Amino acid sequence: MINADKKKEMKNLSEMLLETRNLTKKYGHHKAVDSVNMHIKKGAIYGFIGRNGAGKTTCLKMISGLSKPTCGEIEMFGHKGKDLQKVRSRIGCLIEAPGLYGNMTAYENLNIKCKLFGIKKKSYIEEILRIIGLEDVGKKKTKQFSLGMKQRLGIGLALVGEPDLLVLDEPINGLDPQGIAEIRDTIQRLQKEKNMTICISSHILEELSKIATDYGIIHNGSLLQEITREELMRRCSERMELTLDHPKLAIPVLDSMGFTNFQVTDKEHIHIFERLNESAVLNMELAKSGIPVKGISITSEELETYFLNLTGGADHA
Amino acid sequence: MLNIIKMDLYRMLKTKSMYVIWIVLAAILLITTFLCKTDYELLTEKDAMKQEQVTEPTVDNINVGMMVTLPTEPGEKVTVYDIFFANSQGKLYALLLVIFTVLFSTADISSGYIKNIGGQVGNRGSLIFSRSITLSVFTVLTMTGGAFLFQAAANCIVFGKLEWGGNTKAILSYFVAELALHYALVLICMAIAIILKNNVISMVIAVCLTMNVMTIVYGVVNSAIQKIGIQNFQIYKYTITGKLSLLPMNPSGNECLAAFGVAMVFIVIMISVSSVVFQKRDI
Repeated sequence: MINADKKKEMKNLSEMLLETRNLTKKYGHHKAVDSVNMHIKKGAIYGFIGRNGAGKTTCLKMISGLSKPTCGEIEMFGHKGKDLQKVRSRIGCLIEAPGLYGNMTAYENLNIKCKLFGIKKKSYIEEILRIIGLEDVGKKKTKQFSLGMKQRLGIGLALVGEPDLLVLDEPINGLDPQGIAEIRDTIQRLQKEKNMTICISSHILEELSKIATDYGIIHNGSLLQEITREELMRRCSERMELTLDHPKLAIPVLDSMGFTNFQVTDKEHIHIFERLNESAVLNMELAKSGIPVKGISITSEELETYFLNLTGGADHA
Repeated sequence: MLNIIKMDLYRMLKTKSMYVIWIVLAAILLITTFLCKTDYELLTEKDAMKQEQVTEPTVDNINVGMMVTLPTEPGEKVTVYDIFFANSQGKLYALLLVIFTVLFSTADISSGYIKNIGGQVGNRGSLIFSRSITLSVFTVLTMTGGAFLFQAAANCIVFGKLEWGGNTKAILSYFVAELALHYALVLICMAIAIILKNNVISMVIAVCLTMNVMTIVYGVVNSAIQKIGIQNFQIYKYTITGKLSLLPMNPSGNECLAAFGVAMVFIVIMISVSSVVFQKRDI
């Protein structure tokens, strides 16, 4: 019985909260988003990476219901097609710059959205203001806010109605390091305290790498890769890179030597992520087994380099 | 739906421009009442006869621009109803209503606030419906406040006494018909603002509409229709700006019904068109 419950729980945990299938958006003849298949797990912080103009915002707008796909499908919380309307209120979003009424206070801006959800409690707004760190702004009009404060209020607005999925489009754009750190803390706190699933887009990779648990890399409207944090770290971490004609033949040798953390990446390469100082011994063992080694090197990659390599090199950046 | 209406009402009450419009209206009413008094004191019977021809609304005396003419004859007392009629026919109320309408209708679009709520509303058309309800509240408050509060106060201040004028039934018939026509004009301007998504162009069109600029177009349409053999056709009778100019001071039941009919048709069309556009368009 316990096992059955555990299995069910495991299944639920691995459930996708959002899936897109061939999501496409065309403006005239230009495809801003081209057949994107995104997968966001429950409770994940999904880092959506892409250069300016890659199609991040368009994609997030379609997910948030602000824009209609030209073709393709979105499935959220198990609903799709016309049924999607039923779960739209479970998404909070901050798309592009925060949309605020400049001549109103933070409280009033939040109160407008609270009215939409029928929330009357004053303490509800005060709690949101506390979460986003704006509890002391008083009657200051939002037009007098700094960019960081506006971004945080934008996140606060997205939080009204207790959404299960929070979509944040470039929330750290234009912020100073202090502002970035504040937004990062807020996002992490939300994920931990409220177990929210968060989709956050940015082109500042270092920042995303500090919080994201999964990544989607988009380029020229196409989703190039979806990858977990562990996998990305693995790909970027220091490793021994073996170049061989037949990598599969080397696997028994690696096994016999006790290597466990390695990966055959393509037809010619094996990446080994442990015992990096044993390259000479490994070379000798492979030679003894009659497996010629074409190259052996120790390499590592910056996250940015990984991204640039994937999207066509630094010359395009 | 009720929540959306509450949200829009709250937004309207927090909009500074609404209070600015009301202050401007109060100031204009006070000034125009004062000017009316000066004009009225200088008015001879000969002038009055000439003026009567102008104030009696006909298709021929609809001019481009704004003209406020007092219907009071020499010897009569200037009443609240007289000045309300003059201001309504001169489209003073309409002008202020459409200015606010354009500002209010596009406020969430231009500020970007719509992005916070647009995706979470099941049917985006309901946002338009709630906006039109909110604008109806504003129209009623502005015209009622303008006619019965500001205008009455202005008459008291300028003339030192309060004369309502006319009989209650005539005043109410005229007032309700004008209210419906003004509301229809407000919704036309809301639709323009939502479709164009541009404050400046929408405002220019809205102001031009109140200034009878469409008279030029109506003239062309009339002559075109007459050319195809339909005589005595006047498109003014079927348009909001035309009806606003042509509704007489003591309208008959049929005239009131006709005004209502035209207003209702425009109200339904404008809400439907704006809702469809807003629902289908990306934010």
